[in-house]
Amino acid sequence: MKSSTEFPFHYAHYFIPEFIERMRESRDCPEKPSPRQTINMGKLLLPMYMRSGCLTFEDILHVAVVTSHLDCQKIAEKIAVEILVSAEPEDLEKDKKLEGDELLSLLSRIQEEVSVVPHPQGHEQDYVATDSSEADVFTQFQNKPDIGVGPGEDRILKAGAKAMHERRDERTQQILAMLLKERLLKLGREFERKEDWSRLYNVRPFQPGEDPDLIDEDRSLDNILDLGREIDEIRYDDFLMQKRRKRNRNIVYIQDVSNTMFYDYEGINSINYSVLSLVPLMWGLRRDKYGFILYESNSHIMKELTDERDIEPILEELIDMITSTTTEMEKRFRGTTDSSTWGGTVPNKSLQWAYDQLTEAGDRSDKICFIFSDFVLTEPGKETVDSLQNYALIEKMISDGVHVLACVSPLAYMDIFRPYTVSTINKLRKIGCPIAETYRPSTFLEMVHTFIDEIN
Amino acid sequence: MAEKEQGFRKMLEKSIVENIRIEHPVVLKGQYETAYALLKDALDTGITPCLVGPPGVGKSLLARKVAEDTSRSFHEVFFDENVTPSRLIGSFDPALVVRNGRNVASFEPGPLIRAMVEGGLFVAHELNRATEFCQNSLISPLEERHYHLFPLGLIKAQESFAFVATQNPIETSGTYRLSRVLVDRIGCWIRLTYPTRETELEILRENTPAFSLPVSTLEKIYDIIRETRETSSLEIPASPRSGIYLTRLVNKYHQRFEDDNRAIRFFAPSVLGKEMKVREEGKTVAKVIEEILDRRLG
Repeated sequence: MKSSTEFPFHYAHYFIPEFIERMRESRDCPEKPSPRQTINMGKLLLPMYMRSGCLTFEDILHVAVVTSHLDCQKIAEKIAVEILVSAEPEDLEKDKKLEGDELLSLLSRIQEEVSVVPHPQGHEQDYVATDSSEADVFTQFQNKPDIGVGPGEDRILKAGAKAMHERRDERTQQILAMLLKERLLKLGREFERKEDWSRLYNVRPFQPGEDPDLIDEDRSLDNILDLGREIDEIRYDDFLMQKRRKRNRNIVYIQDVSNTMFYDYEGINSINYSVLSLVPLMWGLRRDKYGFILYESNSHIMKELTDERDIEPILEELIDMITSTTTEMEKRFRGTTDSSTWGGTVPNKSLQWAYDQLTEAGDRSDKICFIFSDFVLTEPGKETVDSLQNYALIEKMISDGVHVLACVSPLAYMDIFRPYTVSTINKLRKIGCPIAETYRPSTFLEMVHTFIDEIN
Repeated sequence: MAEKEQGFRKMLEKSIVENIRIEHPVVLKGQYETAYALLKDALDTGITPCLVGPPGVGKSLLARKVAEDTSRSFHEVFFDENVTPSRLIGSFDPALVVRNGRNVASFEPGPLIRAMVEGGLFVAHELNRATEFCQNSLISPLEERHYHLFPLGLIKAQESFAFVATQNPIETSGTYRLSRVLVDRIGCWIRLTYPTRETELEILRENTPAFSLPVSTLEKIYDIIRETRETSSLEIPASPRSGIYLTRLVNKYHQRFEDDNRAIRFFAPSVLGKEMKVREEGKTVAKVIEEILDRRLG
């Protein structure tokens, strides 16, 4: 956009704080500008002004956009244009002959006038939970020091999911979803770090540029003594460092979204348990190739193993499921709510899909399949052809080298579901499929860590 | 064998240069003109810029051009999950440490410390592939312009030290989210996309040694490249870099063919197919290229 409008440098004094304030107020701006952005805007405008003796519409617009975070550049452009087009001619005339020290003092004043507030003025109430129940318990932890990952963290996560689930106010739900996502990703990062460390094994000679922290001192000393080196003869490659195991993994996640998964027990359902464990797990293993499928009576492929897709929208969609009903799920995935074939527990096609995805990969990577379900598959005492096919598929996966982990909702052990689940879970154990409960996300991740460790 | 090795050593010694110079004119038009000016302004004012754009649009070249024009030495690292902080910073040679202790002589500097000490330009390619561990080690060189190297002490960067990051906009597997502290320290996000027709035609011409093709052939090549960007069945289209490779091949070998169209048809599938990716189910890259070639060349 070219414009002949010229602005004196003084205009930056008005524009920058106004722009920053409007960006912070905007709900469409996910990354709020920091005081650093304010300083950077002034710094970048200065050489432009020095070159031509004035600032153009384009200069100011450009600086507003490029100093904003990538996710906010569209809204930054909109806000900057709004401010620029509403500039009054008399504003532009003020202090037009500002020079030297005056310019620099303006820049420093820009910094002084910026205040950091946790939320925009006038919107404080939007950020306060509507009553004093679980939502408050959950939100009080924001901005507090890291409390680590453990049973306490699990309780917070569950309280968050419960609060989200119970709220009908969309705005509160959105805020809770955002906070919950942040916590779950943090849990995922913890898991990722643990995974990274456990990939260290064996030793190899040190090379220049390697991390000396990885030198295994005891084994290096043994090696140097074994080689019988004099002190002047020691070479850098006599030192041994831990070797990072590099083996690719192909992972398929299968998530049950049948009607029983949405059955509430004390304000929480199986899908909530699944989401609280699945989101950090997927985030922690996001560097591996993964496929993701949902199933009820039908299967819904969310991501094929070979697709390259941003993981965050998938995780957000999963977190959205915490507040969803089966009707909403049906509407989301089928576009209608009058289908008679929705909500059953028919995992055959998904299991077959997982098998095909993992075995077609055809490389030497580790192949893992996580099945998240309440395993309410068959009526007591009745083994249908379909259910037998499920076991056969899982058995086939295991015999073909796929490591399958059944991730069971704690609700599967409740009296109401036990008659339906007990034989299924026993059968899974029998065919060599380990079981991990999703009752506590952190404990669940520990179990997955052990499971993966054993594969290695 | 020993002679051959000796010869290689001599050649290696001769090949060592202080800095690689860009050998062809860099087209600074359209988006590149704006980006170049912004990049220079950002570096002059101590702001860390990040160039964001799909592969092959010239992010690295622009950074190199700035380094060359401002007489800075050039250092770069391509990030992935295996790049550790010590790969950037450098490390003590343990053998020399045993002999001499941890001092300057036993320290082998990495590219970041070299750039800081020499006042050069350090380019962090694919920054969003750097691990959190690595990202954290960049914070103090970026903001405070120093690095605490135990036990040597605080290494202060020269005045002219500059840091430029690049990243691809597509979040693919293997990418990390930049930490908030690092995002906040990157003061300027410069987006580069596919250039306009006029600019890209000039890029193709300028990057082809002994260019001798008729304008109509060059335009045909460009139209094929552009169409890959307009077709909905492709997720990753052809980049200007692919266009350059195709132009070079057609320019050099077109006389072997009956006409230029045949030369384009011969080279295009293997040159363009290498980076393209299809979105539509049931289609292949080869099929999409063939369809485009049929439409454009008849």
